[in-house]
Amino acid sequence: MRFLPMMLLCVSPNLQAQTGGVDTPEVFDHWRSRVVQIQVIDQQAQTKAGTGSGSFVGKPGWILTNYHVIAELANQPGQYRARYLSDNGQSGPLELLAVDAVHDLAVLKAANFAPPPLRLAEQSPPKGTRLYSMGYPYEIGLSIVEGTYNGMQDKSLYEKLHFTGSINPGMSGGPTLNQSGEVVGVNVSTAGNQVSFLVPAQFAAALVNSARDEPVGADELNRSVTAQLLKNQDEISTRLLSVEIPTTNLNGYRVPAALAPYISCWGDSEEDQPKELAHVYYDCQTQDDIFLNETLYTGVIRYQHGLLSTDQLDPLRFYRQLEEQSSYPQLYLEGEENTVTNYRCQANFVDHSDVTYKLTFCIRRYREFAGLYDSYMTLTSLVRNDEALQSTLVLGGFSWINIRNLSARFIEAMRWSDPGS
Amino acid sequence: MTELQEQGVVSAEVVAGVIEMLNRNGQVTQRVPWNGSKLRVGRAYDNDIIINDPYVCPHHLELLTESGSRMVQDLGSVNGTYSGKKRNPVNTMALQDGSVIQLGHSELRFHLASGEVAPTRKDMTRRGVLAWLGKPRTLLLASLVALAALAADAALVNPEQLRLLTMAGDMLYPLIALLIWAGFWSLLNRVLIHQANFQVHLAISCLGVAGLFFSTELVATLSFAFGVDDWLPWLGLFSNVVVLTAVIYAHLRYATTVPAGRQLVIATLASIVMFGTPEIGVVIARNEFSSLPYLEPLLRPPGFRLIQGETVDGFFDQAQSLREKTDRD
Repeated sequence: MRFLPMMLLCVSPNLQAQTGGVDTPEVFDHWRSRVVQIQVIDQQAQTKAGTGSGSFVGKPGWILTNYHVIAELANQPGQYRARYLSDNGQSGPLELLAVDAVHDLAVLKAANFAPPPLRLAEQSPPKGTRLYSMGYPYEIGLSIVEGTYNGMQDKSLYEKLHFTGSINPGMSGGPTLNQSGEVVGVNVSTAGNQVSFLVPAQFAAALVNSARDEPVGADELNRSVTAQLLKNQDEISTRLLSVEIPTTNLNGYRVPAALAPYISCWGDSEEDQPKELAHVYYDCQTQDDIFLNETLYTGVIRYQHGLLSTDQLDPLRFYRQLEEQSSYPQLYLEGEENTVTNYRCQANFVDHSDVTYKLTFCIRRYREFAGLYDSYMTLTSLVRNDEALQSTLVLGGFSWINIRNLSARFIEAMRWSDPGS
Repeated sequence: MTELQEQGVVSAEVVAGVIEMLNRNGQVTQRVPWNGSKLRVGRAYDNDIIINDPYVCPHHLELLTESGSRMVQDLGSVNGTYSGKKRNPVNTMALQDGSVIQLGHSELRFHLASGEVAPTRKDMTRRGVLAWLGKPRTLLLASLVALAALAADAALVNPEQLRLLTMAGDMLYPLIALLIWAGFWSLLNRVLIHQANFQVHLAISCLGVAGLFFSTELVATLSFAFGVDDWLPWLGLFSNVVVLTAVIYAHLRYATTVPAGRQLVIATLASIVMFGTPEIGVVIARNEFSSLPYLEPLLRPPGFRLIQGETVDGFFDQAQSLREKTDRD
């Protein structure tokens, strides 16, 4: 246990990385006692409902993990409890102290077990640094995965580190360490093929610093998560509304393109011969979302433009096909009856920039998080008898005023100029 | 002339009453004038009134006059003779105007010759719209209109190039349903008043199919034109009920003899049940939770729009009430 602090005194972490001063077995042996498995237990079934990993950080007994690991405990404290299980077989109950739902972090406290905490790295390492991810994958015991740091994840709405190494289910919430044993990030997700993501240590430090050393009640927790979500969506909206919406051209229609770097757009087209109904699609969405529970992912922006045209169908049949297509929601947000209300919708004509749109707008409310809504807006241009633009915008987990402002800006960014004129 | 009159059993000049034979629906199948002399009723061929009912005895009862009163007397029948709705057993009973007596599974009713009969009903099927419905050229026209409606319906929902065989396939099931509907009314007509009137019922059915299609399209197009999408479910239900009421009423006019007012009430209630019941299902389904929005877009070509659109701000000002309703959910 004294080996690494001595090395720290002698060798800078960067130098260690370059020289490979510490090997993987040493890292594993020195820090294995700081990593525990976290089990969420169903009180009625008296068995595991889910597992993850965690590491000791901050004050004695404090364990850092992912919010999604203990979401059931946070949402239904009466139905679930949590416990830790250490590498040497020690186990005990856990109490929830604080969560950061936006960055998928939570701090728990273990009773009667407080090994010396890990330190949180103050800055991200250089790209290419050797890192070690630890956790309990598939309940097959504590594992260590060696990989490299590859910088911040591009196009991410919620900052994440890109770790090239295999993080597997069960390792969520576990630490990824540098060779000095500092927590660089918290394991959170994987895209497969050794593409994994970590929550940066700076967010963990912020949460640990703000947490109080006493269990958080259900009401306080709900208020805290609601405030985090409201603040987050407000920041996203303010940034989006402060700049001009970039547009792209779809055969004379200028439509919103990638609103921000964290929104990724893809296009496709299908055309039949003869052309009964041709489609040009343009789909955009945020690359990640905020996990609240198994059926509620929030903080998302998705939109789609479809340009449909025909040279075979008469106007009545063409618009009947458009009607048929727009009867089925093109974009989908999950939700269950206990988490969200039913959608309520209104439809009307809207005139903007010499174009009339048939606009349907729907919203639903989050039952547990006051002030947050999902919206579904779809519009069809009414300009030509043989061509129409159908656009859909879905906002997940925004306040009413931001839904209104973002939806209005989305429409206002649209323009049409007759390509034939 | 009845069979008995032809046989000289009774003479029309001295008729004092009438014996009516009723079927299971209470309809009169035969009327026998009765001058008061003794009439024997039963299944045997030597009776004055022969009833073909296996539950009736060969010599079941006698109708006679005693001290100026018309009487019925059971002749010791196996299954007995009864009177009234409560089926009171009868050995000997005086008959009043309108008395009903039951023997076996058959009924006889006595009427005084001086009793009043219902006023003569005007035959509406021989005049106006109902008469027009019975003409062959109406059937031809109605069939063409119905085919046009079914073809238009099939074409509207078909995203591909129209082909005759595909269209015929799409129209097959609606045509079969139409024939079954017309056949049902024809059968009812045959049972109730012994005339099938299939041609008339087919014409009515064809016009009904066309009426339902065109009224639905008209209501939807007008709702789009004036931007009243919210009203469409109720306007559509109303127009469908009106059309179906007219159709069922026309069928009833031919198939039954009940008064026109009752026919209209029956037609209206049947229409409300037929279209209202599915609508209840839709309302229930809408109130059930769904993670998807319930979208009912109404889209027609741009030229069909008859009102100005809202401004973007105006639209979202209206949506404020949507948010308030959502907050109350």
